[in-house]
Amino acid sequence: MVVVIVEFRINRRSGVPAFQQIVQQTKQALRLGVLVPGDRLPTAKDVAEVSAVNPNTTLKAYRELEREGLVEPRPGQGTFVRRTLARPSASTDSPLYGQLVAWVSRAAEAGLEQEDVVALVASAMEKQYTAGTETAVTTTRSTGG
Amino acid sequence: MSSLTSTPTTTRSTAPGTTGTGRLPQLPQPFKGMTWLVWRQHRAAFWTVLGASALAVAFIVFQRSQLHTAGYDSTSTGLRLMPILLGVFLGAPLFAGDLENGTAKLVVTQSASRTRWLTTKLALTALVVVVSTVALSVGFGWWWNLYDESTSAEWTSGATFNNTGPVPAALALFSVFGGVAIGVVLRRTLVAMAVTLGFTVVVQIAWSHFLAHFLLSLASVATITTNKGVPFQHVMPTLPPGAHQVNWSTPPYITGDGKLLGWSTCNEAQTEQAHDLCMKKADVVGWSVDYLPISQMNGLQWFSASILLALTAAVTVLLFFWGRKRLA
Amino acid sequence: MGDGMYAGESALEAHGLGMRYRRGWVLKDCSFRLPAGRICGLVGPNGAGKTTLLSIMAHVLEPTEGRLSVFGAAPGSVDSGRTSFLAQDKPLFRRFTVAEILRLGQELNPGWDQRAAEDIVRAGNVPFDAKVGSLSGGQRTRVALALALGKHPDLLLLDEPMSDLDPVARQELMGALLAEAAEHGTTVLMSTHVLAELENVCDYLVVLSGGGVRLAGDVDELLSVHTMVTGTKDGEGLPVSLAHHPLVESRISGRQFTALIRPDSPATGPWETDSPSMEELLLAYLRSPDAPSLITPTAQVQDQAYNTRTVAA
Repeated sequence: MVVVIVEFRINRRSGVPAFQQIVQQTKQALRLGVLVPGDRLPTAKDVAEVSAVNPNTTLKAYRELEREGLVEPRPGQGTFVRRTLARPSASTDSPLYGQLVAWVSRAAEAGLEQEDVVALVASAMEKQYTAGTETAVTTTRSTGG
Repeated sequence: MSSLTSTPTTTRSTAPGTTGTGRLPQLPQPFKGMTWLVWRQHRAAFWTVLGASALAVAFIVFQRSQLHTAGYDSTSTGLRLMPILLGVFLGAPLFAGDLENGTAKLVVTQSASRTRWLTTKLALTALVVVVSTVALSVGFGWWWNLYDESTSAEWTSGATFNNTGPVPAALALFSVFGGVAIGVVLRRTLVAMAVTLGFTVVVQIAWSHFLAHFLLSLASVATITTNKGVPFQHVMPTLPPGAHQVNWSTPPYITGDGKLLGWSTCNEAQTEQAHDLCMKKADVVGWSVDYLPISQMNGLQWFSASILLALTAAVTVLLFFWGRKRLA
Repeated sequence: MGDGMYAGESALEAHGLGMRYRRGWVLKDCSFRLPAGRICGLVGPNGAGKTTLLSIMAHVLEPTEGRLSVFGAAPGSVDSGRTSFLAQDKPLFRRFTVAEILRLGQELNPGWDQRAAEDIVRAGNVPFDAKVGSLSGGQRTRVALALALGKHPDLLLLDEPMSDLDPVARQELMGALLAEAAEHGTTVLMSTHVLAELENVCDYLVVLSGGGVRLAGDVDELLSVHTMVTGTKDGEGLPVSLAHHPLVESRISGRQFTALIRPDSPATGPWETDSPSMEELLLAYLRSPDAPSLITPTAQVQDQAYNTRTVAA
């Protein structure tokens, strides 16, 4: 079993609670394939020592990840990754990514600034996903495991 | 922001110190627990007291063994200052220092009780005080025997009574514990030392009065009588060594039928003949002189020392029942 | 480790605690509870009685009135567990070496962990043979913290622990402290007036002001029962439709109003609502001494619900 020690980067000034930062960063690592099933997450003590984050906060984040079926606690050993979020269609060599790159370059040719692009993407994402946060979780859970 | 490093990291960013590799060597352990702490904290003061006393004892023993009496008087004065010095420099700062700079909080929040802290501090201090004062008392007492034979220093004088036997230890303990209590009340080292100076000086003065005006009246008086008449030169009978003649106003002459007559008897006689005739007429047969024999010294010293120790015990009880709450 | 709404064992319970000095009452009628395993921030303006409260908990002071229990027993008794107290001025024997300070911990505390204490000192590159009097403020704090953590306390009381530290030392020492809490389930109560210091560190809060408890409870719970409302000013003050919600603080600038409320029902209306940050919540309570105090159910001692406003959890 490969044990990868990872380090969370907790930004105290971001306004995002540390609990959410840990959840988001773990998910991001799962999406990018940095964390794979069987990896052990840092213990609450490790996170506390390196990032000065309340151990209860870390444990709460892990419980949230566990609730989503992404990690599992093994008594006496720590918290381990159960499944990955990396999907072939979400990697940078997928056709979807190529289409997005092409669209972004067209947007740039049309004179859009970076902020305009971000706003457009966010708006489109909101239209598609807003009502479905809960659904998305349920879906991933049913496909997982 | 939401990136995650996958490199194995050490949990500490600082390198281990160059000074602190491996375990610390075990320090020598003559004392354990609270005793270690109290000795470590006050070792400079304790060693100073013990060292200075050892030097003084060495000086006394040397002079005595050489049968010298030089330095006797100044040593006696120095010894009488000792309770004052111990009270001011050992007693007053004992807790006042900890209360002033906050280390009392440090000690009382460890796992040992504050009763234990108080007990250990008082016990070690008392031990140092007793060891040094008893050593000096024994040495000085030995020297006094010699001095006494050659100069007949009275045992009732403060210089003798307060510097020998159990009295110096008792005086010093009372002064030191009084200083400790003053320190606990005032919680400031310098103020406590100043007040303790006043307290110990008052104790010394009060003690001298007590000795002269009360303690000696408790002693049983011995009387020496003669039947060889009283010569015109008024040569008194010789008292035993170290004895203290009680009172010059006591009638010193005794008549044939046991009556005592005062100093004024035959004072008006100008010549030896007139004097002898007058004495004869008054039926004076000899001297009757009251004195306190040296055999009383030991008993009186222990009695007075026990008074001082009872006062010390009262201060100690006060410290435990009332002062303990203030020790933080 | 504690759960969001977990009540569990009490580390601390204060029942009507009061403390009077010659100059008057410093604490009056303080009642609250701190569940075990929490890391709690004790916040309040200067002179609010934070140091007095911590000193009573550390058994340094006796309260004038009221009762305090530490893990169910009187402070300082054998059953009250180990308590470490780091006083604000970090008192240490100045003429002792660092090694001797650790030796003090070893001599006076059964179950002392010399290795843990040495590790904390070593991590700061503090030489063991240096006299305490020659150390910098940060080094001193580190040694004092090593002494406090070496006995693996059940309850760690810290009075302004990080006030004289640079940011790096602050982060390191906070890390060491939280790691200890993670490993041993230590309950921590730390006072501070640097509110930013508490973010991500505390999961429990007690706000003291004017000698009384203004706010006490789980951080998430406290944040969730408050709402920050921002909208356009309507007339002279706040919109009338907001008036029936208990108000903590309101500020009006130009055409805009901002209010921190404690809504009983969802506060819907022509305004934006947001949940406050910990710092916003604390500042609002510290700035408005007349706002009604709030002690959440997990922070209440028995029989307290009758005389204090409660919120539904």
